[in-house]
Amino acid sequence: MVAAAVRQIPAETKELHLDAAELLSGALEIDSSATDLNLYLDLRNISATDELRFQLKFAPHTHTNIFYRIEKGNPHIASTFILTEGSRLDFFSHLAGSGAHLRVNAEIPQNAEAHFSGLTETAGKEKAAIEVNVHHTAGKNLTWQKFYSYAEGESAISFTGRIAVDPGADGAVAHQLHRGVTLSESARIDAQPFLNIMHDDVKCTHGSTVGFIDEDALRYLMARGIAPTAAEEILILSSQKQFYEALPHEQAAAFFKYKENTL
Amino acid sequence: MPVIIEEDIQLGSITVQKTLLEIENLHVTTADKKILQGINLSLGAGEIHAIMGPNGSGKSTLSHVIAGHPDFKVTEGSIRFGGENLLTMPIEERARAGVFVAFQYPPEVPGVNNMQFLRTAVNTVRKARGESEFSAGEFLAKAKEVMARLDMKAEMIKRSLNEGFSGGEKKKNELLQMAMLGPKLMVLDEIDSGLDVDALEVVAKEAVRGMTAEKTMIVITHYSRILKYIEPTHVHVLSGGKIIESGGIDIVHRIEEKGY
Repeated sequence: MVAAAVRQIPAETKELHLDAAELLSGALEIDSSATDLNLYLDLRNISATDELRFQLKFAPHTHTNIFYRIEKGNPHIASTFILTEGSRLDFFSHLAGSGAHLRVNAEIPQNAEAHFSGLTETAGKEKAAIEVNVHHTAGKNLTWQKFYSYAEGESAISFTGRIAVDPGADGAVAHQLHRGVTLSESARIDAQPFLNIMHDDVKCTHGSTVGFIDEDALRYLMARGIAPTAAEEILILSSQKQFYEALPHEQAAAFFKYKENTL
Repeated sequence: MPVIIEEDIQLGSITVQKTLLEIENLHVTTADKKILQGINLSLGAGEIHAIMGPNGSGKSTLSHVIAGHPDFKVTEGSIRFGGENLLTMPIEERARAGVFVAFQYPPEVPGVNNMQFLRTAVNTVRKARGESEFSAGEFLAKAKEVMARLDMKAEMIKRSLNEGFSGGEKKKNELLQMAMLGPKLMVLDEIDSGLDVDALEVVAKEAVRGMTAEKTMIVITHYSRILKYIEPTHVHVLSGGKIIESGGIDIVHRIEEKGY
């Protein structure tokens, strides 16, 4: 794969839609000076044998929202986000009906902040993998990982979340949360947290649950007359709301085709 | 063998009302433990039956079986509701047919909006009964009316179902659901637990308000205090998984004085 020239995003840019063709043509590097950028990547029906690489570097004191929508394909995508002093990144990914592999690497220097949220849904025999590698290169910064996985049929989802904190990273704060719901006996969700903390004065947490849908809640809804399939759908949608409600604006909800009138 | 009356019968000045719920020789186990050991109960329309008994006597097991909880296995006997075999009906069909169990410990369901859940439930049940569905406006107006009677804060309807509700708020939410669904058989499983004196009166009065000559109510309780507001027509004492005594309100008075 050939590395293209570094693409510059000027400070006044508010919205950018990345073309799938840009990624397919070679490794993409972007330097962003945009102070308040919304970047959208829509990958549907994309199958690629090579790993698509994408690197984005943010100028100091900027804020960037990134939205990935990956459906009905099986692309392998590796994204590297390089934050700088005072920059903030909010990253959202939705993988549905996809056998995609999504790898996210982030370098977090002092006074930077990054939030990574993901919703992954698989069915049939699909196999999706999400890998998040957060690297606190200095202290006084914050990262959050919140990933939700729903697997039905004979599908499988693998979530790997890594937090690395370098020596001397005083006051680094890193949280990781993964919630997985298997919607059939044959579905599988694996969650693997890795924490490599090389400094004492830091705050790092991680939590992961994988299980079936809450039987008590399901029965309760049914006891009020709601059919099992509808009750299950209500519970899944309400659980997925945690992802959608964190979206920063309506354009992002529209990008993910989220309909708020669900329960 | 109890007599099942399928229609009201007029005997001179006395009306013998039809049987709504018929429990016959009911044996139930859970986790391989025998809980109910031969319950017989016949509940007519317009009747309020209080089922009292000490802890572990099987009172709540009965409500779980009526609700269709799969952890409680019926090993013998039958339950007929409106002439139909209740035990073969799926959980949601029971609700649509008019069975409502106000649970002792309603679960918290984060993310599910209380109002949208209840509107979905009410319209599902109304549709099954051949009634028109409530519009959002109709539903909200009716819900607000019931909530005002139950002294519920308006914000409760907008919150996630039972999430973070106090014990009393959960019980009031159960009564809100009951009033909105309008069931024929109302089972109140220890609805008085966790309620202060004022809330108890409010909840009990709302329950009684839902009673008509066509409906039946079962009040499961340890204590007599709720029966000051919900006057039972029949009182049963459950002990060791069997009904050891049936009669009128005098049983309540005796339990009040002498205990079980």
